[in-house]
Amino acid sequence: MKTEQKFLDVFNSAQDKVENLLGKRPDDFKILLFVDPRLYGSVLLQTEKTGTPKAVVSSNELYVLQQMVEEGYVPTGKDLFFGARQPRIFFPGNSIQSKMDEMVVEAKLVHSLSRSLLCEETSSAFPDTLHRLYRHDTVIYDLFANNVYEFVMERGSSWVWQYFQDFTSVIRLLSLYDLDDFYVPPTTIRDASIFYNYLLEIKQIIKERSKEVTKAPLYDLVLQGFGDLALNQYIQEFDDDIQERLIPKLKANLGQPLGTIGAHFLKHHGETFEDQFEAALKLDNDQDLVKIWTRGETKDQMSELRDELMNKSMVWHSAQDSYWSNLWPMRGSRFDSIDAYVGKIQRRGYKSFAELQADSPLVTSHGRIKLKDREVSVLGIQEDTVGQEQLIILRNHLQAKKDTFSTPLPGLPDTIVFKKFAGMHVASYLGISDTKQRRTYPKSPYDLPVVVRAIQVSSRKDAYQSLEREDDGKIDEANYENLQGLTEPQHRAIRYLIRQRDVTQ
Amino acid sequence: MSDKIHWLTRAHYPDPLVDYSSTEFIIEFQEAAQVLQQWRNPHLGRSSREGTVMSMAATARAAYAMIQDKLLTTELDADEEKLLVDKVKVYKFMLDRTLPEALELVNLDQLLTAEDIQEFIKKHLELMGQEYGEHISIAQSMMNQLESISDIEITDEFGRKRRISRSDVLDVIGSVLGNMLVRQLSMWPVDDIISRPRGRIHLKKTYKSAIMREGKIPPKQIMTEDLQVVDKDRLALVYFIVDLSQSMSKAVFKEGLTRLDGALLTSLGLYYYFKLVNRRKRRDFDSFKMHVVPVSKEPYVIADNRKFEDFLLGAEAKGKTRLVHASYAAFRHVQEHYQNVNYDVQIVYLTDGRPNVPFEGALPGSTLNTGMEEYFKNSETKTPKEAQRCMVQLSQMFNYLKRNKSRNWKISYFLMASKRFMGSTLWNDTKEMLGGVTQPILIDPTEVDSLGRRILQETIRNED
Repeated sequence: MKTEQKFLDVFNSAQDKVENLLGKRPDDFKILLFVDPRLYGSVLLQTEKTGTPKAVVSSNELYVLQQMVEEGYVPTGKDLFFGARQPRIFFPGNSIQSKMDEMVVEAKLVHSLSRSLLCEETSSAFPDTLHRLYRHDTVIYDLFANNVYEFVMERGSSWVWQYFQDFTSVIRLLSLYDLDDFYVPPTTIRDASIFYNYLLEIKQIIKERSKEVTKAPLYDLVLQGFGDLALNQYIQEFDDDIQERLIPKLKANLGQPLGTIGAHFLKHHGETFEDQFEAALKLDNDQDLVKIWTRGETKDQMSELRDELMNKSMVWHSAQDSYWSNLWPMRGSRFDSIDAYVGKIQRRGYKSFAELQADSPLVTSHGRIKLKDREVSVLGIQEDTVGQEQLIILRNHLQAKKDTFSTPLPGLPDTIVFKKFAGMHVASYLGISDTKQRRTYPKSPYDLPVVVRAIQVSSRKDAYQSLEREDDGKIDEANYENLQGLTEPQHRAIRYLIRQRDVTQ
Repeated sequence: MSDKIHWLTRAHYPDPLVDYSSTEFIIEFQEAAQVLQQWRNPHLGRSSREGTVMSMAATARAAYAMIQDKLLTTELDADEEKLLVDKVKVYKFMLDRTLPEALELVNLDQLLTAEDIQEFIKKHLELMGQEYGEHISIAQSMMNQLESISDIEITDEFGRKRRISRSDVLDVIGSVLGNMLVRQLSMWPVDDIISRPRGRIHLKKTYKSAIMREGKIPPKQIMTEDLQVVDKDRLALVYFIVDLSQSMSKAVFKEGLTRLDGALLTSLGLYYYFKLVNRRKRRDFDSFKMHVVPVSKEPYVIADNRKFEDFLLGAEAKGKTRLVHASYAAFRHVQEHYQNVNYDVQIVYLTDGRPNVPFEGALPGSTLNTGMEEYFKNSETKTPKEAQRCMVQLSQMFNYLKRNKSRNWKISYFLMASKRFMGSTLWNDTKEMLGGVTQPILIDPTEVDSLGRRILQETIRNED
């Protein structure tokens, strides 16, 4: 598709501006324009959720994101910038109508191109890691798409798409926490079918990807901070009245607490902008950026910055009357969460994603319950990737035997998963009931006699009493000793779910 | 052109948020009937309802975060900002208060019907008003998504589960069953053609008239006298008389479907079909006004569409068959509520054909001799005396209505039974009772395909 001449002019001028500003221009980058702006929204959401624009999302998460698109909640004003060693700058296909549009697009390009230059030149390992992640995800995506295609074409098994999708994304999440061991197939099984071949292959690649992710340095604050700093420097060159008109249009670029805080730290890494740029190139991670101040100094600086922002941020909102009551509190809490992040890496000296992740894990394992005939594994998962339907991936799904996939493999036992949604705390249970009584072969891994429950975890003493079964013969046989890190209400929810196992459905 | 700039289309960059795995769920009539049966036992599918609440929570959580993100990053005008701020508040309240309570209630097997859910929503809207000290106008429509708790779960051929809403199922039943059955019903409001140069001109008729006058094709000119105008569409009143007697609870069809299920499905199908027609016609008023008369101890008429549907979904079979009483109730209702005799009336019976409580008192046409009494006297029928008396009464009433010149009355009589029923005494009695008025139609809801074929065949035979 032909690019508008106006856009090309603006692009060339933006490159010149960046060269003026930073002394050189980025060399190895891509600007990706979308013919259909709605596709931009999808890629934006997916990249924010998974980290790269190619990663496969689970069907549960997909459903949630689709809802967001349908409701029109996509933050389309955001610029999508993928800071790999070869940076990718995504833009919704745009048309330039007025002089103002030209200036806005130029400013946005300057913002992205300066970050691109940082990604190309920095000594940090971050862009390389992102680059490798992108490559892994592309491989995974291609393997996924080709295998599903084969499978659907050969056997007409339309369930494979969802199954492979869920498998890929669930394993991706769990392997980050070293919990993917439940799936350990023997390598000899590779020849059995393309189904197993795919599962084996993908697991290995995902394992490598997870290593990359955990090794990745924390770099967001530096990257966004530098972008903010460079853009502000660029804006300075305009007259005051132009600045006044331009700044409100750059809400996503200048109005972000992450960028503002990062820039605030960077400003103290050098006297002039050139020094600050040189310093930024040498920063390996956020820790290097924030260690210039002690905790006490940082607190003072942050509260000063917060007060400053409180008044300054009003330019980005048009509902002036609800600014103080509703909009500033949102900005404020966003600011506070980044402030808390800064505090955490300052106090504990975190440098990599792995350390941060270990501090507040999204997935935790709480051990297993032993029953007479089986085990129940207890997990806590604070993530949208795993919904109730995805629990089937965790279960020993491969008990499903039919023609081409007929080898029983070790899987997790029945599972109980805890999940929090603000005021809601849910315990869900997935189990397979009396598999022995089945007469016919299941048609897919989904075609199992599944028992699924989801209950609200309540601290009220009488919460489950009226629901309990009268004969409590089974309870005594259950062994809860191996559980750890659970609260009293969670324990009671587990006991209730175990008792309900056979009476539901 | 710079080598740095690339355009992306959907062809070489597939939309990551398209769910390619979703195969269209094609529900067939049979499945739809089973799903509806599940609705009539709302205690089934608790785990699926729990899943629904969870997925609503996941959506609310994502929306809560994403709207805030949008507010902080995307340029919006004041109205948009205010709307989104309101939405954030509602989602917050839902996550903190509404959804946890909804899940607890679902755990306890509550929140089963649409009414329960509406009441629950109302309560929480009030609580929300108290919490924020203001009424948020968008809240009502956002909370209404809780209604999907009453959806039903179905399984596809590979064992994957999907939830399906009542209206989706009824659309299937409506289009399949309604299409089949409507051939039997002669209740289309007739477009009367009159010679009056006012209103919408009926081109074909006008043209034809001109040809007739001139005797030439094409006619040289069209005179005023040729103009044919379409009269206003007429309104049809439909009364479903649904038998709810004990005998209807007998399971006579495949898959354990009872006669009552059959009757309710049929009337639901017709109801949805007419609703569809009403929608399609795009008039200010509905061409078909529907009523249902339950055959119960004290027959009454339900004219409200919403209640109509709920009644059909929740009805239970008990008591005796007071078919005559119900017919009389419908008759009275027409006389009292619709003075305009231009309204056609169609009475649709859905019964197993065993009326057993005669009407005490004066009925329209009670003096008519329809030959029904003689028929019973001459045949050695084993039909009980009460039933005989009822059938005589019905026969008199049908004949009276048929002969009534002031208004168009039409009768359809559906018998819920399997094929074996044909040729039985009751079948013959019913045929005799409806003699000269209409034909009884056997309905086996599980064999709707052959039913349609049969209805077609019979229609053709009747025309001969």
